Amino acid sequence: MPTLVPSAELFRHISELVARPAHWRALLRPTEGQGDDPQHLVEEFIGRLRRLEGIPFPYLVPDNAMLPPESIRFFTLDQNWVDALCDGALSLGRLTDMDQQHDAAVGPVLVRRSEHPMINHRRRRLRRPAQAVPEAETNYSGFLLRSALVSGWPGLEVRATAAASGSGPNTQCSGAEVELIRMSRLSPDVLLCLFAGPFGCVQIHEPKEGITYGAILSLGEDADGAPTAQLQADSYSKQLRGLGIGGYTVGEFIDGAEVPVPLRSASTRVVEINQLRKSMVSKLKGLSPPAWEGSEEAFTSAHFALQMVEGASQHIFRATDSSEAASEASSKADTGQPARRKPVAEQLAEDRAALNRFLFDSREEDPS
Amino acid sequence: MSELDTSLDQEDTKELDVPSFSSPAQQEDAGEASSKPASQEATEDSPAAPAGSGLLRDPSLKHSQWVQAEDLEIVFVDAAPPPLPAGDFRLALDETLAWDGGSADAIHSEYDFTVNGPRFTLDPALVHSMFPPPGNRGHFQKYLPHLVFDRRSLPWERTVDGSLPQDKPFVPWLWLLSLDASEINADPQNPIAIQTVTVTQLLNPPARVLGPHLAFETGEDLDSQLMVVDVPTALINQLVPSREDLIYTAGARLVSVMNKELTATTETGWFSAVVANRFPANGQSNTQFLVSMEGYGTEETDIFFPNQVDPAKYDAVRFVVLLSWTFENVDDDQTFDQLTAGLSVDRLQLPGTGAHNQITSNQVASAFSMGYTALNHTTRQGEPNVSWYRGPMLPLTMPKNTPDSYANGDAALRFDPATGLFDVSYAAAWQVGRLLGLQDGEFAAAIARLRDDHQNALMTLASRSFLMHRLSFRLPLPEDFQELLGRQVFDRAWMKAWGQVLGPRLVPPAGEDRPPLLGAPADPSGLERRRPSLPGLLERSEVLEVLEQPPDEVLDALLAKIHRGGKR
Repeated sequence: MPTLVPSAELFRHISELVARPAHWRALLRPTEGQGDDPQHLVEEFIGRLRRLEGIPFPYLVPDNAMLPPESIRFFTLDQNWVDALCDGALSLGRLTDMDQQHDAAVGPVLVRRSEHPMINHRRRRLRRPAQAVPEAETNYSGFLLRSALVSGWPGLEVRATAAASGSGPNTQCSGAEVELIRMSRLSPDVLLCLFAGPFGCVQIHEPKEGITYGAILSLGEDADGAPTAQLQADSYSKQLRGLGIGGYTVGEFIDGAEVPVPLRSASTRVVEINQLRKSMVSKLKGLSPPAWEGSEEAFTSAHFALQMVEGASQHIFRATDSSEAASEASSKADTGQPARRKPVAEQLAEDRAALNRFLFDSREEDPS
Repeated sequence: MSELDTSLDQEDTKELDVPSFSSPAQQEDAGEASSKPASQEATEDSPAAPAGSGLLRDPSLKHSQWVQAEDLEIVFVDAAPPPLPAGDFRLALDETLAWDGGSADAIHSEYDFTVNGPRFTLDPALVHSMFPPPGNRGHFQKYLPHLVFDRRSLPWERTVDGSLPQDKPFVPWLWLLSLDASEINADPQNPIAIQTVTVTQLLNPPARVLGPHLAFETGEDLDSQLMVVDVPTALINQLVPSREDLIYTAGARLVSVMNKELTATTETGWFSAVVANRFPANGQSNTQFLVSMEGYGTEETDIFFPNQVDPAKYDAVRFVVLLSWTFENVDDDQTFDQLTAGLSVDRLQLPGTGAHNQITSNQVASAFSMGYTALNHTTRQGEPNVSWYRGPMLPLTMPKNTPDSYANGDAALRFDPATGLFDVSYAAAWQVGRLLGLQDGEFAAAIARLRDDHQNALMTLASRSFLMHRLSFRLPLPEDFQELLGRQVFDRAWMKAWGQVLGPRLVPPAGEDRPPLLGAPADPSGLERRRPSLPGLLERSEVLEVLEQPPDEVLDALLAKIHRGGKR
């Protein structure tokens, strides 16, 4: 039977074409996609997996003793685990040899490219410009917090920096800020925070929107903080803050500007709020130079709130050093510096050139 | 930052104008917006108003005042009333048509509509946080309890007297009523407690109980249930704030959400808060009731201090309770500072020692320090076994040392010769990844589609390039493989091939001395042969002759030839 082309030769041509990973990789699109483009959807999903979204809690923390109540636990993300996770997801529908060849070539690139949606998820929601994926491999790190803080203070704020200085109560965070890439409550009292790199120090702030109205209570306290005397009508007082008028910085306490908090009676503990506001205004006006110039009506609820709030509390944690436990790591990795990876775009250009060479550059030697 | 948002639509712009807080880490994005006047009346005509401030762009906040405390990274706003309060509205329209020398009768039309808002119940999802947190125990006597809402306009969506909330003074309709245990249990037979009643029972309370003076609104069901609390008259007369007091218990706040958990309701950064007007009682539990004051500031019923409810007429006052919670102001350690200071700090690993975890072997201790835990594992054969497992969160830094791809989950099992146990970590990860992928239908479809697209593309490239190479005459090859994938690639290639390969074979190009493959050019009309005898047409040799003339004379020569030809 006459054939147009010898099928054995075509078969050889195809097998050579699909055998080289670069040929598969060359088919990926260089740009970030959108909509229902399959490459985009896959990269977004893998990005979610890489942020550990949706993974059942027992897979993350297999034993509750690792994360007891009222504890904070620091960790580094295991890239091997995450890669196995992503490969598992990409293995859906992987049936034939060619599927296997395709996935072996394209899978790692998709996982690598998904680092972009992984680290920019929060930035997108905050409408901030996206950050480029660093060329060096990143050691993603984070912490788990299990505490009544998580349930009682929704809106906790966290900030991590590269290093910590000082010790004990004088610990200060120093160095560059490490970007927060995921913060979610896994359960009412468990908070997961993931950062784009190793960090040495974490600050946990009381939520600013929930900053409390408070006053100075001059009753004396025992060692446990319980008042030692009976409450009187003049037991509470309030130190005033500047409002940006007369050279007083907004929010900064003014020395000696203290007003008593008027109570309707000691037994009811009801604050005469408007009267307190009026005495604040007259105190601020009476300072030299005056810290308030407008009328009494102009001193609104906003100004009153600024006067009444206590500073938002914060606590600094030194991320525990993992160097002495890093034996497994150091025995296998000789260099401390993570290797520079070839940028995605550079790799893609090479792959495309390889595919073009294979398809077209056999022009001369092809025996036609 | 706020300048960047101008391209968004109106609704988005309103929500997203978070002023830049200039902390060092954010300055790269914050740009020039760092120094702002500290206090401004947010009116459009205020000359000193900072042009970039997001607060000014929202017309519903044009009467609001705000203070920004830079070091606290928070903007306090006195009130953020909604553009329209909740309630029934009537839009009345009078149209008058007038022209020179006449006019028509005015046309009057009316439209009724209702703005819904929380009234007798409150969706718990609107509540962001409570302070002190529900159930907490600690020393809170220095603090006024408060409640934060995710919606900035909530405290002003209704008014105590039915007036419009856009008008000053901004009196909120919510009061955080704070009662201590001794007040609640003052009468042990009859403690103050939340009751569930119907709207009818609120509007028509029992004898000697004072209820709010409310108008019934469209869409309300008289039989729907709500929670109320009846507070004894003597007590309420002592606790109730004055109208002015209440103004200053509510406020809106705009904060940076850069370092917070992002949710659909919090990512705008806008919140509102209401604060109680009394300090908690020491040494006992304190219960907070978020109550509605709507209908308690009207001419008919005004209970605000210093007005007093007449104890001779009423035993109790009935309040709608939207939310309540209890905390204990006692000797314990659950304040924010105490909780943070009391946290146990460590790396994520099993404790090496402990009551239930006496470690005897060095190998086990070392495995624990690498984040492992030993789990019971029933193998495929049904044998009970123990295997090592650890999650993705390790107490140490691991280099990448596994393959990128596995043929199946079992391929990711690792055997630990030292302990004779399997490490199932990566196998479990692979399996859970596969399950999560399956769970997400969109992803499962996308990965299949991606693989299909790629395989189709490569097959197309293979067959097309093969065909182009194999044809006995060479088709011109494109420069880039993507050209080969297009629909028209063969059309174009064939056109080129006809032009460059087949065409020249059929008809020899000029200068090549061989007869055309298919004989002389056809002359179906017979015109070609008779051309010399046609008037006005020139032979090739005649044209060449004309063109040899000097340029100035070409035209005359040409015309002469044509005319002469015409006479022929």
